[in-house]
Order: sequence, then C-alpha cells, then structure tokens
Amino acid sequence: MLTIVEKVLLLQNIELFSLVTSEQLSFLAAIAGEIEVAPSHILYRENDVPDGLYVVISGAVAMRRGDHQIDRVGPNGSFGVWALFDDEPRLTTAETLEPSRLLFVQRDEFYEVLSDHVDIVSGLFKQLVGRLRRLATVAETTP
Amino acid sequence: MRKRLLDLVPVRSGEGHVTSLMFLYIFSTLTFYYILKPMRSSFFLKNLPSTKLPFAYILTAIFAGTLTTLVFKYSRRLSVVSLLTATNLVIVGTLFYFRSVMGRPIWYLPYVWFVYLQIVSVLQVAQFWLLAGYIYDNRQAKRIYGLLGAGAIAGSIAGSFVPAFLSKTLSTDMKLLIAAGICFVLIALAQIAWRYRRPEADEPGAGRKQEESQDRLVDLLRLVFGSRHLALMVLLVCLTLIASQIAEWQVNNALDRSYRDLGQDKENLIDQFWGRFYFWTNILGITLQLTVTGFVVSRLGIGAAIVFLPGGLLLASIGVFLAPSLSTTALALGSNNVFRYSINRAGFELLYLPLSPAVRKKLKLFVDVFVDRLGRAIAALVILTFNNLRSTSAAAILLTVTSVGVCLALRKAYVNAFREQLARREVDLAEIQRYVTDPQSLRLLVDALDSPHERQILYSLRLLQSARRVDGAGKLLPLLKHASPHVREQAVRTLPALPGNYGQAAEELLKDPSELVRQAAAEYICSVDPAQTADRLRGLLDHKEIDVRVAAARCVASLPSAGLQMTQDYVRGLLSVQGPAAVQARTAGAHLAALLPARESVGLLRELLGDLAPEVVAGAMRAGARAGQLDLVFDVVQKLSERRLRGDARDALLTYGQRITGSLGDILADTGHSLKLRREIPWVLARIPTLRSADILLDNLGAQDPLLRYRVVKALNRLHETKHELPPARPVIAERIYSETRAYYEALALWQPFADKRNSASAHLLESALREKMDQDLEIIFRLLGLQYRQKDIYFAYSALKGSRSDRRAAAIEFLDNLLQKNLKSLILPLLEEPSAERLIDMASRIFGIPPYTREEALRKILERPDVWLKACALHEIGDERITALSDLCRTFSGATDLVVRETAEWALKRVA
Repeated sequence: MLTIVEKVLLLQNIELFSLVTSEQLSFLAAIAGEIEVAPSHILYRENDVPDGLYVVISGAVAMRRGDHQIDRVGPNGSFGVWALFDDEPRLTTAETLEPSRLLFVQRDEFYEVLSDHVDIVSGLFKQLVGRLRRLATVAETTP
Repeated sequence: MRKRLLDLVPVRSGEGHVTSLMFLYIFSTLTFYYILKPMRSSFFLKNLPSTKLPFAYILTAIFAGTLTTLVFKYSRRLSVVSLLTATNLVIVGTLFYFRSVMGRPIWYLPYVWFVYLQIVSVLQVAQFWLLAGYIYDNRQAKRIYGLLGAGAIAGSIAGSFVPAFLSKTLSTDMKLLIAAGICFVLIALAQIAWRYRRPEADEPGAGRKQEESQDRLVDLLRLVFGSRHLALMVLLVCLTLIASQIAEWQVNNALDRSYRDLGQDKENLIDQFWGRFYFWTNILGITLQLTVTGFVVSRLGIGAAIVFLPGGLLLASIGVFLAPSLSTTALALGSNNVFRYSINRAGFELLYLPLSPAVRKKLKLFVDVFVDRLGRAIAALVILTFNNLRSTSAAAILLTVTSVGVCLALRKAYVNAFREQLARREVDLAEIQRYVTDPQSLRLLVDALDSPHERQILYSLRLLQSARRVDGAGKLLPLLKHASPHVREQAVRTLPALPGNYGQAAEELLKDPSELVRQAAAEYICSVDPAQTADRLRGLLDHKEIDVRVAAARCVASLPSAGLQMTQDYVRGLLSVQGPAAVQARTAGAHLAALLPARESVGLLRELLGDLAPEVVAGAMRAGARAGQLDLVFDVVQKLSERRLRGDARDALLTYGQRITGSLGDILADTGHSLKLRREIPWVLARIPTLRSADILLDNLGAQDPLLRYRVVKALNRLHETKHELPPARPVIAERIYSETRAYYEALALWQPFADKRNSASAHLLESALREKMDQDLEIIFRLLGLQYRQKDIYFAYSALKGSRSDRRAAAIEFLDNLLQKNLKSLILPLLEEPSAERLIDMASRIFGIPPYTREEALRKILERPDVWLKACALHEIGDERITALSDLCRTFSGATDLVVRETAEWALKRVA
C-alpha cells in the first residue's frame, strides 16, 4: 500500500495539478484508492459515464478508440483526468495491457475534498486558465 | 379589529419603548423648528425691509450646508449621544444669547438669526436620523422610518400651532424659552434612547459613514450630465426650488407692505401669519398625502404627479402677476408647500426607480449639496434684479412654464430609462415596495410577462409583486401553467397584485408537482382574506393530502403572525409520516416545531438535528435559528464539521448573528474541540462584523495550527473589508507580523539545505513543501499588513509581487518602501528584493538568531514544528535517505494522531531498519 506522501509524488505528475500545492495534493491523495488489475481488464468503455481519474503506479494501460489504440499509459502516467470536470461520456476505452497497479480518484469524493479545501480550486483554475491562454495564443498564431 | 389596527403599526416586540422615544424625539424636533421658523421672517421684517431678504438667502446658501458639514466632520471623535447633548446645549446657549440681544439695534442680527435658524433646523433633523441609524438596523429602518416620518408631520403641525394661535398670549421671550425647554427634552430623550443602541454602535466611526463622501464635484457633474434622465431631474429640482424661494420672498414682501405701519404689532402679526400659514399648509399637505396622492400616482401616473408642483406654482404666479397681494402670494407659496411634500414627493421618488442605489445616493448628494445652494443663490439674484412682486412673478411664470416642459420631457426619459433598466434587470428589488405604482411602469412590467426569456418573466413578476390592482390578469394567469416551476411559483406570489380573488386557481396549484409552487399557493389561499387566515391554515394542516399539509406547514412558518395556535399534535403528525414524503414532512415539522413554546420546541428540534436526512437537519437548524433558540447553538455549531450540512449550519449561525459571538469565541479558543470544527469558526465570525468578533479573532491570531491561523487572518481581512474600522489597531497585529516574518526566515533557513537541483524525489517534495510554506507565510504577512494599512493597496502590491511582470514587481517594492514603517521595512523588504538566500539566512541569524542548518538539523527542527504536512515530508525524506541517526525520532511519531504523519513514520522506520 502506498503512503499518502507516495501518492502525492504520483499526483504531482499530473499536469492539471501542477499548480496545486503539495499539502493540498495530500488531501486528494488521502481519498485516492489503490486498485490492482489483471491484464486485459476493461477499466471503462467508450461512452461510459465518467467517474474519476486514474494514475498508473505500475503496469500499462491502452487507450482505445474503436479498434485503434491511440495511446499507451505507463508508470506515473494518468488518464481520465477530465472526467473530474466533464459530464460527457468517455471518448476512449481503457484496458490494461499487463498486471497493473493504479491509483483512482473518484469524482464525487474529489468534489467533497474541494468543498473542504476550497483553496485547491485556485490552483486548478490557474492551471486551466493558463491552458486556455496557451490555446488562445496558438489559435491566434495559426493561419 | 384591534388586532388589525395593531398589525398596521410596524413595531415588533421589544421595539415599542425605543420607537416611542424616537417618535417623541422627532415630534419635539419639528415642534421646536416650527415654533421658531415664523420668527425668522418676523424678526427680519421688523428690522429690515423685505428687499434685503435676498442677502439673507445668499448667506444661507453659503453658510447653512457648510457649517452643518463642518459640525459633523469635526465631531467624529464624539459619540452620537455626546454630539446631540453638546449641540442642544449650544443651541440653548445661543437661544439665550438671541433672547438677550434681540431688543438691541445690531444691524447684522436679523441676518444672523435668519441663517442661524436654517442651520439649527438642518442640524437637528440630521442628528435625529444619525441617532436613528445607531438604534435601528436596515431591516428595522425599512419598517419603522415611515412611522417616524409621521411623527415629524405631527410635530410640524403642533409646532406651527403655537405661533398660529398662541401668539397673543406668548411673547417672543416665552417662545424662545419653550424652544430652549424642548432642547432639554431632546437631551433627555437622546440619553434614554441611546441605551437602546445596537451593540456595534459603540464601535469607533460606526454609522457615520453616510456623512462622508469621497465623490468629487466633477465626477458628480459628469454623472448628472451624462444622462438625460438625471440632467432633467436636476433641472426640475433647481427650477422649482428657485420658483419656491421667489414665492417665499413674495409673501414676505407682501407682508412687509401690508403691515408696514403697524409698529410694534408688526412682528407679532407676521409671526402669527406664518404660524397659521405653516399650520394649515401642513394639515392640507398630510390630508392630500393620505387621500389624493395614491390616486394621482396610480391612476394618472408619474407625469401628472410631478407636474402638480410647477403647475400649481404657475397658476398661482399668474394670479400674483395679475393681482399682486398678500393673498395671491400666500396662495402661490401655499401650493408649493402643499404639493412639494405630498404628490410631488411621491412622483419624484418614482423618478429614482430606474437608478441604481449607488447613482441614487450620488444624485441625492448632488441635489442636497449643490443644487439646493445654487437654487437659493439664483433665486436671490433674480429677486435682487427685479425687486417687486409683478416682475418676480413674471420670472416665476417663466421658470414654472419651463418646469412643466421639463416634466413632460422627464416623463418620456423616465419610461425609456425604466425600460432599459428593466432589460438589464438593474432595478433595486429591495426598494421596489416604495415605488411601483405608476401606470407606465406597471404596463411595461405586464408586457414583459410575454417575454420568451424565463429570467425576464421572473424579474418582472418580482417587481409586480409590490403593486396592487394591476390590470394584468390576461397575462399573469396563463403563467400559472408555465413549464417552469419557478415561473409558476412567482406567478402565484404575484396574484395579490391583481384585483379580485383567484383562490380557485390557487387551490388547483396545491396539486402542483413542485413543493415551492404548492407552498406559494397555500400562502395565497391563506392570506387572500386576512380575517380567515388562521381557519384556512388549520384546514390545510388537517388536509388529507400530505403534500398539502407540508405546504401549509411551510406557510405557517412564513406567516408567523397568522394567529394560529401551534400544538405538538400538528408537529408529531408530520414527524410520523412514512413513505416518499417523509423527509419533506419532517422538514416541514421542524419549521412548525420552532413555533411551539421554547420548552417544547428545543427538545423536538434537537431530536430533528439528529435526523439521518440532511434536509431535515438543515430545516431544523434554520427554524431554530429563526426562532432564536439559543439552547441549540452548540448543536448547530457541531454541524459545521459535517460537509453536507456546513452551508446550512453557517446560514443558521448567521441568522443568530451577534448574540452568539461569545459562544463561537469559546469554541474557537477551546483546544478540547476538534481542529476541524475550530477551523470553521472564523468563517462565521468574519460575517458578523462587530467589535466582539474582531476581538475574538485577534485573540486567536497566535493559534498553533497553521491552517486555523491562516483562516483567522483571512476572517480579519474580511471584517476589515466590510467595516474599515475593524479590527481596531491593537499591538497584537504588529506582534503577529513580526512572528510571521520570523517564521518566514526560519522556513527559509530550513529550506536552504534542500535547495539542491540533484535532489531525490523525496528531497524535492520536502523542498517544495518548504517553499510553499514560505509562500503561505508571505501571504499571511501581507494579509496582516492589510489590517494596518489600506487593504486594497497592500493587495495590489502583493498581486504585483506574485505576478510575472518585473516592472510591476519593482513598482510594488518601491510603493512598500514608501509605505511601511522603518522597522517593518527593514524586515520585509529584503524578503522581496534580496535574490541571495545566503544573505537572507545571514540576516535571519543576525536579527532573529536563527542559525544556518545542516540537512539533519533541518529535519530535526521540522519534526519539532506543528506543521503536519512538513513533518510527513521530513519523515519521508528520513526513510528515503535511510538516515539512521534519526530513527529514534521517527519512532516517536509512529503513534501520532495524524494519519499522514503516523503512516509515513512507520514507512520510514521500516526503511531505516
């Protein structure tokens, strides 16, 4: 079992949390559950209702759209991040490629932590606004 | 019948005594003024001809407002009661002075007396409203100020009765003595009324903000002349003011001529004339207000209401022009006095409707400070230029014809402005009850009910709710079947605005799927005939449908004065409901339980506070708070630590308000309570802006838990934002700035050994946690500085320092360099501008005695600190680096109460072993 500090070290790799302080991440880490899954296990399917984000501790997960594998997520990588904010159905299917250990942050619990530690929101917003600014700059410079 | 009459008096339990005192106070103030007011002209005309009166008008325009402002400005250090006492004593002294010199031939005395009476009247009335501001809060003010206004009218009638009918028996000396006696009565009333002041009235500067204005003339001019509506309003005020001042001079001129040869009797007769004039015009004014004003405003509209004053003055001025005499001039001024404070005032208040509260305040300020003086001065110049009745009446005709034209233009501008504000939904709903009576406004609102936009419909419905006898059933009734439950609910709530009884339509809505609609329908059914409210409520509470019973229970809670005797049977009946409606029924039961006698209510509500359904607990908290059940405060506070109930618990505690600050302070300071609970208290205290809240927060500035300390400082910032005088300057703030600065330097010294780019992930985590700690310390330092200096300035400086632009950062440092006191500057500025950590650590050593640390020393030091997260990071670093020298220290944390510390200590111990 990972300690909260170890989970924080994993969550720090997620871009969305890059401006959230380590102490605030420890509150999220406290609700992050560890799951162990066998190979070829479907974590979620395309068009499923989103329920939370995953971080790979060990092993690997394939992200598929239709029959095509569009990504492979290895240790320290994360997927399903936008499920924390978006009600739209999943765009991909996530399936383990080998025995894997994953960290899972459930969406409802995520919001409960936010309501207790509202300062986390400012770090998330800053990151999202930064992303929007970058997108706007790209849109302006693209002919 | 008696109950109905009592319902008309807007005074609630506990307010009766102080409101009687305040009523008596304003009554006496106006009595005082109207006893003396006639003497203003009579004494002047006894000694000087009426042709000299314009100079008195000019002096009044120059000195009256200015001196009043100066009195308020230089008396801020005094409490209001001291100010009132001092003012009245000075008035008594000056009255005796005038009494002793009135017989002497002093050439300037008539001017001084004339201006003096104007100043005294403005000062007395302004000070009364200042005192009222300390006694009543905003909600009470809305209910009670109308009653106090009636006291003012009664006082003006009583005051003018004295010179009108007792002049022959009362000499000038005697009237001055009566006035002085009234001043002593006012002192006594103020002393007693002051005992009923609100607790926060003791705070320095409380309630005095209204006298201070930072609006510059140029900004006010830009505001007024930037809007056609405002410019026309100001023009109308100015023109009618000039015309009325001319009318007053005309009466004095006619009096001067009529009583020229009467010698000693002249003063007495003029005094008597003015006394009778004010007496009858006051009576006519109030009669008109009570009988015709409502009809004119609601049937003829705003255009007609505002044209009465200039129209009346125009007709009377034509009379003066054709037949200049005392009776025609008195008729002109009489029409001014009667219409100005009745129909014209009601119409003019309508003109304020399309303005936002801020603009309304600025416009009133502009009118009081500038237009009033300008109008008096222009009137004086007009009189000096023409100097006879016929010519001045020609000028008055010209002015009033222009005023009538302005009224017509204003009517169009008003409708346009109202339409625009309605589209932007900027009309102030809180003020609406005083305003929406005008047919044009009502038509606009009814037409808006056709809108395809739900928000527009809802907005118009809310505005219409204050109106009565609206011709809009054709558009309102279909909304009872609108797809949106919010529209249906507001449509039911708007039914009282229609003439007639729509009880049948409301009965059908008792089956509506929305609980809010059902409650609104029940409220309508019960309130449509006040005589039957209690019977109807009883009928609905006994209804066979549970949904209807729930709606009725909520209705009872919202109509506590319905006269229904609440019994436990009703409450128990709802609490015993099973099935899908059980939660709603228990929630409604909570509302009813709060209406039971305290001994029954507390037990039931406490039982409901333990309910499994959060809605029921929330309902019980809110109901208990509304009923003021202080026995439940502790139970409600406990709910702050439950995430789903926190919002409702906060609302309930804020409903209790300042009565519970002491209890909140006890919980905040008591380390026996959980940290989670204590951390929630500052949020509530921050929203009860009293000196007591500020003191409690200051007492906890040194809380050991960093998050609690941060929230305490944040709460103080919030208090300061709400009330600039809070928290008061106390040494503890400066001491805390020093402690937090020291904490920053210490965190820096602890950070230094880990500031290595080759760090492991674990050391990097500890390094970033320490950096974040320094950021937090810096934020707290700036938040505390915000309590000592102007908060906005400090906030802007802090934002610039945290931003990425170097020019803004440099400007912020320069600003702080000029702002901060020397001792603070020498500690804080290096943190912001010194790039070398070594030099800062050297400073830390010199100033605070904080030594540079090795890695191991730093880890030991971090583990001694109360900061849980830093401890966990340090333990992780010990385990990761396998620092065996610290294994004993790790062991001491394996039994820690904090999960993150305990589990990391156990993890580290395994690694070290």
